[in-house]
Amino acid sequence: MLTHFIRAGLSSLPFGALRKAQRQLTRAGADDNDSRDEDSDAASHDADLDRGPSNAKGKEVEARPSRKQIAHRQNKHAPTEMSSKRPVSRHRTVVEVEKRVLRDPRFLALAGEFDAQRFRKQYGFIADLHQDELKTLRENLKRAKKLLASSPRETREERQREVTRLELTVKRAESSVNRDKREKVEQDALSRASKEEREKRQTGKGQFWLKDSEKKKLLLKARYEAVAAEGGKGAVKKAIEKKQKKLSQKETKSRPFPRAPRDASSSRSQEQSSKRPRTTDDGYAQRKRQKAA
Amino acid sequence: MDLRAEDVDPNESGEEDEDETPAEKRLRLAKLYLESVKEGLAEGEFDAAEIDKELISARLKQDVLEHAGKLHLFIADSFDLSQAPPTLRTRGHRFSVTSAVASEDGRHLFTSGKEGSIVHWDLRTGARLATFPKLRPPKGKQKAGAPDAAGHTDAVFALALSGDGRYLASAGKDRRVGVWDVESGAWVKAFSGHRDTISALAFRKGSQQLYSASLDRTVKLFDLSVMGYVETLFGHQDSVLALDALRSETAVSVGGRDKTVRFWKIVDETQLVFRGGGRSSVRELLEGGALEGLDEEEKEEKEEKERKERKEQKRFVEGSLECVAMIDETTFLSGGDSGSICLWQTHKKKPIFTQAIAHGFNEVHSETEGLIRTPRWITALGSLRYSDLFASGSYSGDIKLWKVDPKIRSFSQVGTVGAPGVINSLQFISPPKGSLDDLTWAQDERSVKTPTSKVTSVLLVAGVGQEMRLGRWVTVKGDGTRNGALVVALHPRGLH
Repeated sequence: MLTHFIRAGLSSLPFGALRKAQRQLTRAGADDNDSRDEDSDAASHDADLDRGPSNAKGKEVEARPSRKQIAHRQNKHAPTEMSSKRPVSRHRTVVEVEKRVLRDPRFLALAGEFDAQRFRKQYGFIADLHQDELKTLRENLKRAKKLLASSPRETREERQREVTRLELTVKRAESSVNRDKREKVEQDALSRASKEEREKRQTGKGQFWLKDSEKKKLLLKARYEAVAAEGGKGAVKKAIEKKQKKLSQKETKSRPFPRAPRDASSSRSQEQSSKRPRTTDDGYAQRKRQKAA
Repeated sequence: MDLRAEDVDPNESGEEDEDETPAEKRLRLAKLYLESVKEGLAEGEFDAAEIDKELISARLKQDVLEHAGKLHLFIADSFDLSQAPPTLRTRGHRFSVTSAVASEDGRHLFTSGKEGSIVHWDLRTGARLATFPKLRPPKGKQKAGAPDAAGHTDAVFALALSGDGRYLASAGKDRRVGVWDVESGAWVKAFSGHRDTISALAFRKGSQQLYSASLDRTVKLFDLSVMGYVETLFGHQDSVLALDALRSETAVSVGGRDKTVRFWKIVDETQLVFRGGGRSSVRELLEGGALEGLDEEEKEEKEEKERKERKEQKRFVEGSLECVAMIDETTFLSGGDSGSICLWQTHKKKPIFTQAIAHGFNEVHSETEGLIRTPRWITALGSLRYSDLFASGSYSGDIKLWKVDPKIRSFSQVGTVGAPGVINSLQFISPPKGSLDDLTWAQDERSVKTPTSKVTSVLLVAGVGQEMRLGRWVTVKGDGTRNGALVVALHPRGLH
């Protein structure tokens, strides 16, 4: 009687539901079997793993039925076998478009390691390009200024903007040219030094590793020598003075307290001192000046 | 005569040997029996019960072979196709007939049309029994489709009858699979899982499991014994256009422009993928120009020249697979839009044999291009189960009958049946011996057969229309094309 009722109930269930229930029962049965096995901690552990990912809280997410492994085809002439349970999207690529592969040479092994000398040799022409650019820009700026001077009211603002833009660009170009010059000078000095070291090594005399401070001195010297080559000793002196002035100005700005007046009687000095406060002069600036000269 | 030892009294038998083993005894009795059967038939003294048992045993044997799933009926050559076979044509659809199916016992015929109506015919007389017309969807629900309607609300593209002849399944553009009861003509149930037009239906032989294939790229399984949905099979990359199934839990489906035939192993939840889309090349030797009035040598030269120039090697690439038919559990056929019929076996990923341009070329005269020749598509395939006979249909005006080589390495044409129009569906049925006599239209001088003929007559049911089933790429009008079903009775050649 009971079985009759059960059967009647089961027959009214949809087939899909029955299959699902069957799957779950077999899974539950498998788990029970594992748990019943006393000396198989490993087995139960595996069952836990098979159960699938569990939530962060520790609650178990409903496990996916274990995926069947489709056997690799024995013969290459046999057709491919694949699962029939994975849905296929409607999206179809009708025309294959090649994906652009972006390659940054900085991170490519193909490009090799950076070698400054080699780079200068191969790309030395860029310095010339910078100089040409500067020349062109200067000409353009001249023309733009002339145009601005002779322009009616409507176009004045636009032309003014153009002139300011060109001025900034000229400054940028100038700095590139100066950077190229400086770098050239520095690299030459360093290469000369390394050549000397190599010679010393070859002739047997002990070589020295160039310290950072020594390197700085060397480069400074090279820079001033370049200035001297261009303009002569007068130019060097002027450059040094300019640098000193700049440094002193910086230093005075960075002072926290105004300087006490040196000569109390002298009114001019008082005026001066009121205008420009000075700290106690301990001769540091003077010493520095002497050193630079 | 029973060969059981108890019935034969050893004391009464004359030729008995005392030291006979049971096997020898069986052999002796079998020989006696055979002789008696021969004598009996010659003299007209035969036992009706014995003949009945023979029939039963033959049937059992056939069942066993069928269950083995192998091709075992080599009967394609035994049909008489010298004259036009008796045919039954039914009319009654406004638009093209998309599917025509007959029951296994040869009593019912159902046809469905593009206008959405299904007609029930009596196959024995050809009379119309009932019509299930297209229902109008209730107001305000034009596109959504009415899930409750007891009928179809749009074109019906596929029909299938269950093996026991109890249920008729129908489906089409309204995305529902409808189940009708054959005897009462009542609507039983609708399954609405599919998301797009359903293009094909097939019942599993000997059971009430129904497979449905749809343009949404899925194949769904339903079980009509419990009236429930079972599962969905995914894999096709393009619309599934045709489906076929035999006795085992496997099915074969063809996927249109993805150029694959997929063999579904439902128990394993896997599929085998067979890739079609091959090239078929046809070398044509166009006729040379005028050769009269030339000398022998000149003629030869000109002929050669023309042969070299005019030798065209045309290549037709199969762009889509349209239809499929299973011959036995591991062999099936596919037809494509390049006119090629391919024979496949499940152990090989490439077709065993391809017949290119099976239904010839469709010639169109163009002012600018000249003569455009395109191969005719294969629109339908139907095979007589577990036998070597199959039929292919196109819009060439005839149905071609083919015979598969006994070694299942190739196939060749054995005959044609005239059928103007586009053949949208083909089905073979081999009804039991007695029922064929009831077909009033199928009687012929050839239908008189001796009781010992092994081969029974076979009915070929074709759904013919003026347009193709799923679209209007090809229309055939005039020349006697009518929308309807065509049933052809193929009788075996009489013994002379």
